[in-house]
Amino acid sequence: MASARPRLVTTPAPGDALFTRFSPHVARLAYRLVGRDGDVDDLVQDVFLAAHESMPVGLPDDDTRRWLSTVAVRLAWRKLRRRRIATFFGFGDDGPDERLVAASASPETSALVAQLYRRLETIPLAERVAWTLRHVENEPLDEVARLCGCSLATAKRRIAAAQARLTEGA
Amino acid sequence: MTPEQLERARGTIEPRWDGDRAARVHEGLPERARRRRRQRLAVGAGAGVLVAGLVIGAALQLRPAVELQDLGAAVWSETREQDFRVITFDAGRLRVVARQPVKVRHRDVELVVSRGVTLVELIDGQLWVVVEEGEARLRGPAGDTDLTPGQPFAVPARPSAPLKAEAPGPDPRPIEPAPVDSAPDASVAVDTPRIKPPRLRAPRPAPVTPEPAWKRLASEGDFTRAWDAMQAAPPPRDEAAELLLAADVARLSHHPEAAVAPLERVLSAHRGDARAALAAFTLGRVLLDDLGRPREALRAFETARTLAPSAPLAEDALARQVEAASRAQDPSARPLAEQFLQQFPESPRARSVRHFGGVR
Repeated sequence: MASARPRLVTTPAPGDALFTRFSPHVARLAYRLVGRDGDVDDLVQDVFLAAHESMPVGLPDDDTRRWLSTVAVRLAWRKLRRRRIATFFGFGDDGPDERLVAASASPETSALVAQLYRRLETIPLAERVAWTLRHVENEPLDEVARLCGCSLATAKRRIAAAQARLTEGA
Repeated sequence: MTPEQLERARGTIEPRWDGDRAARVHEGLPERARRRRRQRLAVGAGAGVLVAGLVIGAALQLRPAVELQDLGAAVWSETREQDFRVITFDAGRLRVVARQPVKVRHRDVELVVSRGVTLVELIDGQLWVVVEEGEARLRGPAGDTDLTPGQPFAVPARPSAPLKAEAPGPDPRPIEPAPVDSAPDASVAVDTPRIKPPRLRAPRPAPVTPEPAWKRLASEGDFTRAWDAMQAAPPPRDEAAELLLAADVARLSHHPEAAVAPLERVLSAHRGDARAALAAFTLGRVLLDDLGRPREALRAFETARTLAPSAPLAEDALARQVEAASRAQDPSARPLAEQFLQQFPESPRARSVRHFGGVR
């Protein structure tokens, strides 16, 4: 009989319940923001470690989700910025994942989404994040503004600017 | 991608996140927490060393210095004031932000940063320097070299070897500029000289061409200023990406006539590029919508479809081709419309195609 992997009790980790309940949401949000499956695990871990360290205890589910989303957006933004700097110096990877959609999606949808994320790689980060939150994650505008740490007017402007770039030639 | 397409696609953009993966990620949390704690201790130790150094330096009335053992380098201020910051990244890179002249010494080579932002990077033992903003000069045994902003310089391993710049290479993607006044990113350590960077996975960086101001402005969405800057800049390089960007600047600053030449160049000299179909489609739109040249637009849309017959834009290209043919009073409008309706019967463009094609 195989023994269970020992849990290292000296370093506490976020509770199973919190992780089980919200990690799918955090993983999906992170994935939609950065466009690379390889980055998701680290981002999810960082978000839940931050939650363990500083998230208020006893939050209702909605507030928990919003808190985790805020941290996820911030960390994803940081990841995207580092990636652009790395690309500038020739350390860039091959670009977003070729297949970003679920297995059940049609080839046409897969191609459209892949094209979309290639285009997102070329637009300013602030616009990219705002647009993704609005149009991929389907967040309301005021929530987009909150997650991006900007005013509602700024969020609208960024989304519109991103939309203009993305629809040119579409 | 149309709003309808995005609406359908949105729900499918999902990571492969199942129970096994969640469990694996959750199990890795303690180790990740330990790694982060070790990094923070290193930051704290480095900051402590720096503070000690500054205190000692102040006591001895020495200029402040930051020693970067992992890079084999040290940074001095040229004045008594510590009017600079050294920001270390987690991969052997550091950024020097200076308001007054500072010196960075590596072996026998001295980098003098007059003012601005300079990136210094150690890759497999080779030190690279890139001036992001402002001015810098490399001072070595073989003489002084003023560094061109944006161009990487390799600091030689042997002190007697001459300093050299790399030849321009492929255009990098635009990056967000690092304003001198910005607060440091919480993810990087400020003034932490003793962080051991993780092993770098990539070899020496690809040479980078200096980025003209118009490209930076375009990447920020300021196309009006980008257009103005482009008038004073050398012509765009003969590369698909730069030609497309130049065309965008022209179009989006309301100078559509200036977008034609770079787009045509993409099609004539870079036809094999993956973006050639997009260039053709964009050219068609400019010719039809902005310049009132429907016959030329007709050919451009045809080219777009020829280059990418299965791409998502093929549907739109055919629809616009019908419109262009109609406006040019070309007899191909109707057969093209019938072709479109046969291929894309559910298309949201079907109505306009029927109108332009004269099909009921």
